[in-house]
Amino acid sequence: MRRLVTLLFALLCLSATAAMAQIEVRAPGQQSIAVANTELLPLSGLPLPAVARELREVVSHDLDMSGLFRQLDPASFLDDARRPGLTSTQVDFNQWSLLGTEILIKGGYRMQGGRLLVEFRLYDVVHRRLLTGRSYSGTQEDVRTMAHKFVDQILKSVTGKEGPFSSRIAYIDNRTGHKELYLMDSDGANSLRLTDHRSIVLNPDFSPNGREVTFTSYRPGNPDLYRKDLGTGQEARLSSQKGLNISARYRPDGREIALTQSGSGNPELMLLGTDGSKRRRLTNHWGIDVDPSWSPAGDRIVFVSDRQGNPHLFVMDLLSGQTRRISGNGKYYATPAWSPEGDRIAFTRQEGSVFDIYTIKPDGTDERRLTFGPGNKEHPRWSPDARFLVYSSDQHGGRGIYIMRADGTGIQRISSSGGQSQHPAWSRQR
Amino acid sequence: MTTPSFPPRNEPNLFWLLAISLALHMLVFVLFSGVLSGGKQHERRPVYYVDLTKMPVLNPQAGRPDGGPAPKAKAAAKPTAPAQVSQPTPQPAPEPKPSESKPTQVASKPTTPQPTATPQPTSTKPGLKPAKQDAKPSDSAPSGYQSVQEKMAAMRQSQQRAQELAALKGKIAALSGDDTSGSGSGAPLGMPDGTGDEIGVDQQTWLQAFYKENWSLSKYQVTRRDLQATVQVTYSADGTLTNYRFIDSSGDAAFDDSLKKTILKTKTLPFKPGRTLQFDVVFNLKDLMD
Repeated sequence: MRRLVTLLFALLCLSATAAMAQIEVRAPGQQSIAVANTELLPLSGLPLPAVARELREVVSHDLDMSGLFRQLDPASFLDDARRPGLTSTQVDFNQWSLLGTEILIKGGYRMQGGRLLVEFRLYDVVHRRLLTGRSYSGTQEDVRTMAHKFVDQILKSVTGKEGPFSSRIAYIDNRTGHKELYLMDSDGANSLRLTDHRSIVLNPDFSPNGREVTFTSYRPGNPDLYRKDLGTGQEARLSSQKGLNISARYRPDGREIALTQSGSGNPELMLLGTDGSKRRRLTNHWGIDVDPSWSPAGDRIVFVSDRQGNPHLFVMDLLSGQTRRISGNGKYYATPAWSPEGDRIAFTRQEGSVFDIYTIKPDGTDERRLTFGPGNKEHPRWSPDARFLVYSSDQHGGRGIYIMRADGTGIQRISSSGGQSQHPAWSRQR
Repeated sequence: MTTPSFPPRNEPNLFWLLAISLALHMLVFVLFSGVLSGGKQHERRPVYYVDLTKMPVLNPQAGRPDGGPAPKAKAAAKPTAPAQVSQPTPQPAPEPKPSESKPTQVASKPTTPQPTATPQPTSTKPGLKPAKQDAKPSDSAPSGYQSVQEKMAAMRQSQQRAQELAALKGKIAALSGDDTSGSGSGAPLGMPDGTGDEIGVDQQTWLQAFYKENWSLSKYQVTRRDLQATVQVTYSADGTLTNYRFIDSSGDAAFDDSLKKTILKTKTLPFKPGRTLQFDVVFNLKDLMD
């Protein structure tokens, strides 16, 4: 009996030690990646300090905006930062490990036949290996684009999904005295006016390949739908039906356009071909149906309708034709935008007299408020990778374009002051 | 005259009463068990007790983490006891009449019984005889012997009380976070299986903190929060990582890659375990804040 007790006790002790042999770590201690963003060095010829500085600043801005990284102070860099190392054997990883660096950005540039050639390298300091490398060639005006493109690759290396920084944002601005269509980089640089309608231009949307933009213009007196080719600059009127031709959105496969038309007297959702031909009437209700946005698969549309009293969000299944309300407690919902990932829908909701941005799951659950504070935040649109949202706001006086991460952090104004900017749309590709 | 018969009562029998009762109990159980709540059951978050003054250490001392009386505290109390016992023995010496050896032997018997009797078998013989004789005179003179015994009993009681008081003081000091000894070696804190000399929580907790500190992953790198992977790591006696393998991978490349980096960053332990260490590390995002 005593032996049995002893044996049981021994077994108990063994099981206790076996349980101790497992350690559970329930969250990372460092929730950002330590990155060293070194200044690019001349590979040959004369140094171009302005180019090197701009490259580093753009990379630094994009890394910050991603929320993924913790940038190390360049003042702490040792001499390896001053040595161009385009292969992993040329990099002194010990120096970078000493600083706690996890990934390292190095590179160089040179002028070759009047063109600027930029080499970027991304190293994994822990594994002591090259993660990715890119060579870009262009003029000195392309410096920002090169940096944006490389940060997109950095994000792809680190997360598996390419970044959105080299894509562009279309928006409406009235700095000329008229609401015109503009285009700018994702950080607000290189703003460019696209239209000269000297009227009211509204609701831009990019085609999936990023080469065309649709918008509504009041130039002919009626709010008609236009399409503009960004490469050639050519414009075409897609829909000039009497009444509204507004809030057009390309289907994700680029074959159709959903929009609101009021030719029948009541604003309804319609489906057009990319040439403007009428395909199908989507809604037929006494209520006002506006602001359609496609699901990534193109099989559902979320839109705003006042068919149940106040403006609410509804999701329509295009195959079955079934429509279901997904918004809940609020009294006024507007401008929904379906995430390219498909998992959430961003929209604005009025509380009191202020509009703020929220997201919700397509099934109507898990509504989350993303913006707070004074001022209206309106017209949210997703970045192509669903990491960010762009929107317009008058929270700091004049109406401007802002971007933030999809969780509501990292809010940043990207449009310049001096105009009233609104109705942003994020391109899927550059 | 016949007694009126009771009208037939329409009562269910005992079986049905029990069945209804059982069904009602089952219903209550089902309602409160959360089976019908629909959504997935939320995992209970662990409660972490963080002692900010006694952090996880590499080499925890033996003892109890709750501040209870540690073996070392007992050891510290030991020397006082025999010292106090041996000291008073001469005090009763002048009282008894018999030879000087008798009272010492009598006095030493109850306190330190082991050592003195065995070494001198020859010389104790004569000593034993008087001891027998001693029993007789004790009968004849009970007052002297009893008074010695009473005094010794009182002394023992006071010593025991002093020990208990010391232990209590140590416990109170440990609970209040004070180091009883100042140096830390005698403090009643440590692990039941500890063998080291540091005050604090156990080595496992230290390793957990070590891995957490070296694990770097942004919440923007992952799209799901239910990721989990288990890595088995092996360290040699000198604290060098000799092997690691994924027992369970999460299926998410970014998550698993961050774990590989963590293991590589922790390839050298800042202490020498003295034996081969092998354990599983489970990495997950249960405590990652949104």
